[in-house]
Amino acid sequence: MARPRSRRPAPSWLRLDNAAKIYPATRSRKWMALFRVSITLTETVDDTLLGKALRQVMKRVPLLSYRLKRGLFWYYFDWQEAQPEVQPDARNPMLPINLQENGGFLFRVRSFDKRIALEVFHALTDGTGGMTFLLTLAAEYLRLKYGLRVPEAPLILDTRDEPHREEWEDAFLRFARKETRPLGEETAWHLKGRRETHGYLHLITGIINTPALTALAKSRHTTVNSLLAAILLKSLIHARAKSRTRDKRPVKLSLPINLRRYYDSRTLRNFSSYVNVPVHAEYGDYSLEDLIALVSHTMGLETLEPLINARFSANVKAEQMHIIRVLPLFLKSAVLKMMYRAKGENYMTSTLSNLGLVKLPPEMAVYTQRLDLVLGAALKTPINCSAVSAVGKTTITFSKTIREAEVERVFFTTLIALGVPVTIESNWRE
Amino acid sequence: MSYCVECGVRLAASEPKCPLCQTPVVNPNRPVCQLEDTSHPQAIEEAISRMDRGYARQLSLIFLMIPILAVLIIDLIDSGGSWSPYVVGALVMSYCFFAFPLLFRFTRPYVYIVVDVLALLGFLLLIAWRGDGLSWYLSLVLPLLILLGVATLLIILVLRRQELKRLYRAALAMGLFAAALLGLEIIIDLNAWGQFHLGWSVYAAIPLAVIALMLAGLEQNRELKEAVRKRLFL
Repeated sequence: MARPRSRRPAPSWLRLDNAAKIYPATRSRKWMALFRVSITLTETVDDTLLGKALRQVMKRVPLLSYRLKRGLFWYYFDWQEAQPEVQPDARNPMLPINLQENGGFLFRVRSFDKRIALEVFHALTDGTGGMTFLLTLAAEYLRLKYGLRVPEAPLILDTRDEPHREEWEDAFLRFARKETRPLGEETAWHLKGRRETHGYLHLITGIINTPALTALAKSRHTTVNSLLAAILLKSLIHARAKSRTRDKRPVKLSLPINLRRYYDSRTLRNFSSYVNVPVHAEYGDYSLEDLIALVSHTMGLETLEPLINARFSANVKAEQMHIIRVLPLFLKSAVLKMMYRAKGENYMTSTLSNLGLVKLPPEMAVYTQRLDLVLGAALKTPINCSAVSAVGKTTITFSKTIREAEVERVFFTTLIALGVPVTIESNWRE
Repeated sequence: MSYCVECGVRLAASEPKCPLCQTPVVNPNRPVCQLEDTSHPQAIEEAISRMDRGYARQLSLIFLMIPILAVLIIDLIDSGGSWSPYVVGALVMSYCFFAFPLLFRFTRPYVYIVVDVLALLGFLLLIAWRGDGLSWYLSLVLPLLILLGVATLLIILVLRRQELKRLYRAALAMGLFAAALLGLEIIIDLNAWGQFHLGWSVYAAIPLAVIALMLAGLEQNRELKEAVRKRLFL
């Protein structure tokens, strides 16, 4: 008897991409590499319609249907037919996902009032992929609610299209070359403080008028990303001075880079790298102009395609080493976890992830108040910063696990001193 | 909309104080009690509080395997495997003591005690077997450890019987402890002289038995118990 033809639109299983491999090994009951993207609409979200929209988007983006499984040597993604439910949002977002209770799904869609939020395990995708899932979901929701057909845009997929196999490719493997670059670098100074209550990720969001911010960056002959990075470095240097540390390690800001800008890939999985910008604060006082120059020049040098390629090719090469491949998963996970602690987190003081300007189609923009991006915080990087701009608003969110607010206070008051008004909101209540 | 008088930032309508400097918002037109907290939900999610046992198991196995392999290799190269069994045995015994409980999601004291006694018996058997014979092991160690293991199991069993009143449980546990001491002296005496003569254990067992009887009596006499509680409460 002929076997019924599977209607599965994607492979039954997938290898984790090169960047994703570290994340399952580093997760624990207290911490998981999550990030969150959210869209605030103009009207209260209807959860029933959102659930319908989600089921539709699951067909278009089969990557969302995979669950994480343990193999003998590697973790892998395994296809499942189940459907996720929309969950209510919480004041303390981004708690580690209990994969068993979450039906195996590596993400959760949450709603509150006018907001739709997507919290994603980084093993599945990166910020660009996450924003694509979210905006496709929001577009489908608007179609169901208002009969609105949002045209396909850079971060919005048409749910009538068939999934494309390039969307789940490991682009690192495709574009990696033979020549690699050493990954070691100087370890960074780390911020310390009084820890927040366990499980509470403290969010402080600044809402800024995008044209005002862009004008400020132009007046300083730089980009918004470099300007924000320079101001954040200034804030971190201030926090370091205030801590009266004798630690001479540099303050280092990690800036993620979307590799899709360099390579022609439609992948929705991880495809980003990073540049760590170091500042040796003990050498003297840095003005904002100095820091802007430092960030711009470091980024200018480090984001040259050959250098970027050599950096991620080193990771791909490490993954393909025979000695690594034959290690049983439990040993590999322990090694990866130690490497992450020793290398990944150790090399940065904080991260600034800026998704940039998201141009929403006018049909969708009229129903949208704002977009948000939230990063998780880790043990050695207790404060991280993220930014995204859309519909004339830039939201800059500090996510942190310590109580002190010195870094974000200096950050936002510097923006105000530079003539850009900021509206602040927070999820913390006594 | 209010502004923070310290930082100069504009504060969302939901903020009772500036999140950056904690300066309270004083706005006569919009008192704190009238604030609309629409930016975030009220519900707070509970963090996962259980232990990652899978990871703990893996880590403990790795920590066990590394010294075992190192010891075996060094001993094989150095002296052909003469002393490594003792170190490996001690490591396995320590693993049973400290890492074995990680295998269980819930506390299993009876299993832990049985495994601990077996691990200790196994380790001492190894020493006896590779040393000067099994006689001391069979006549002293085996009965002694079985006695102590059984006594500990019974004491825990009694202490965990919630249906028994607290002082009865304490009295029974003390009685069992006294009996174990008597058994201990008998085993030691039999091993040393082939016969037993109760001495030190009686001096320990009598006060324990008296205290046990007093506790049991106290539990029966409600008025006396209340009077003691009244004077001794913390």
